[in-house]
Amino acid sequence: MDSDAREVLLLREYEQLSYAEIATLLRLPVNTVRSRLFRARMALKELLVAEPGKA
Amino acid sequence: MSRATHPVSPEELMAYLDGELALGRARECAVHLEQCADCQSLASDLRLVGLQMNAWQVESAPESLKASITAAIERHQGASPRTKGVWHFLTKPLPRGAVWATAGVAGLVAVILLYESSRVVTHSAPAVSSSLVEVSAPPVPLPQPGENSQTANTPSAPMIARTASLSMVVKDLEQSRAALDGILRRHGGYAAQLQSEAPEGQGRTLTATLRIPAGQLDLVLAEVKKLGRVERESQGGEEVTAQYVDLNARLSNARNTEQRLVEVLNQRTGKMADILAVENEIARVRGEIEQMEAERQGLEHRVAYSELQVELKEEYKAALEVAPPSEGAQLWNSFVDGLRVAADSLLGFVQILASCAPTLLLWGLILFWPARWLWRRRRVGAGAKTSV
Repeated sequence: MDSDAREVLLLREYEQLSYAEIATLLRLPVNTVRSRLFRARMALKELLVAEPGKA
Repeated sequence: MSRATHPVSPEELMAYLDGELALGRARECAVHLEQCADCQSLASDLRLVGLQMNAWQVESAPESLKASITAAIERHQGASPRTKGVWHFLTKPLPRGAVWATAGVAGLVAVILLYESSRVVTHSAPAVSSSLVEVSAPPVPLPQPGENSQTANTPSAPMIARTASLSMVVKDLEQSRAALDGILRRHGGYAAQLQSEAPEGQGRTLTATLRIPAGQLDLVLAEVKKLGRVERESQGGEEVTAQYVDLNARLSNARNTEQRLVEVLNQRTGKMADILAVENEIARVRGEIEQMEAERQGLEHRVAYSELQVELKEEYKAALEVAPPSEGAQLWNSFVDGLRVAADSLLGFVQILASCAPTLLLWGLILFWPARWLWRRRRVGAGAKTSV
């Protein structure tokens, strides 16, 4: 997973920030936040599918 | 899979699940989600990722590690008025917007833990950006499954509304009912509905719908089963996580909309009609919010309180069975039966006679005179012959 996507995912899942808050924090457009978050979740899903035991 | 035909992009679907989509769009999304299997599968993938992330935990650190961390912190910060805060940090989720000092310490913890554990998915990267330090730091305060780690949209554990039903035969209904009340009181449950029946010629029955705190259901079941003989038992569980997540998403969307509308109302100085329209819209959205909140509470209640259907039947005391009769009694019985048959046949004959009598009498009367006349003529004829 690339670091940009991971950053957004962590802010969302563990810090529970809204898309808008993440966008403000990282100085990014909300749509970019959204697409990065989607990318991160899909990548994470692939990881989970590949190695379910390690999750 | 081709997404060309979907009216909703996958990113939008995700935003919908996160409660980040505008209300109108969210409604379209909800409608589409109900119809589209592809999107349902994507949604369940996304929910799964969220659930798994929230369920992750790091195995608890050995005592020696805690000691060395404490020592490191003390070195780091000189005298330790912060020690208590550090322990607090180690055991509780890091609050949002933690101070930079804590972030630095957390970074240290992360580095040490990285050496300790060989996890594949690590949370700390070589400093991505300055804003990330406080985020990437703490693998320790990941929410534990048992803890209060429910986020707004993703419950940490699957939500299951459990139901059970028991059908039992008991010796004494009153006693069992008192016992049932006692069980309910002890486990903090209550009777949502209770019905008692005493039909004639059958045992009395008691049917009740009980609500039991979810954690106590198994205990209650075990205790209720001791009341008598179990005739039928069934248990079920309905997974309502998806429903709950969707509801939360819709609720969050509606709240966002309400907020925006209120902002519009505060800022605009438009025509009266416009203001009224906005106010109407606000009233509508608030109505929706209240409805969804009620729905959510209902759902939470169903999960928190399992439903137990109990049916108690009192043992029916049927008429006593007679022991098989002896030979003599059998003979006597046959004789009595014979008498009864004879009496019946006599009665039948009399009945037939009674039913035929009027007809016979009528024809007797009608045919009497001609018959007599015929009879006399023959006698006269015979007398004439003999006299000749």
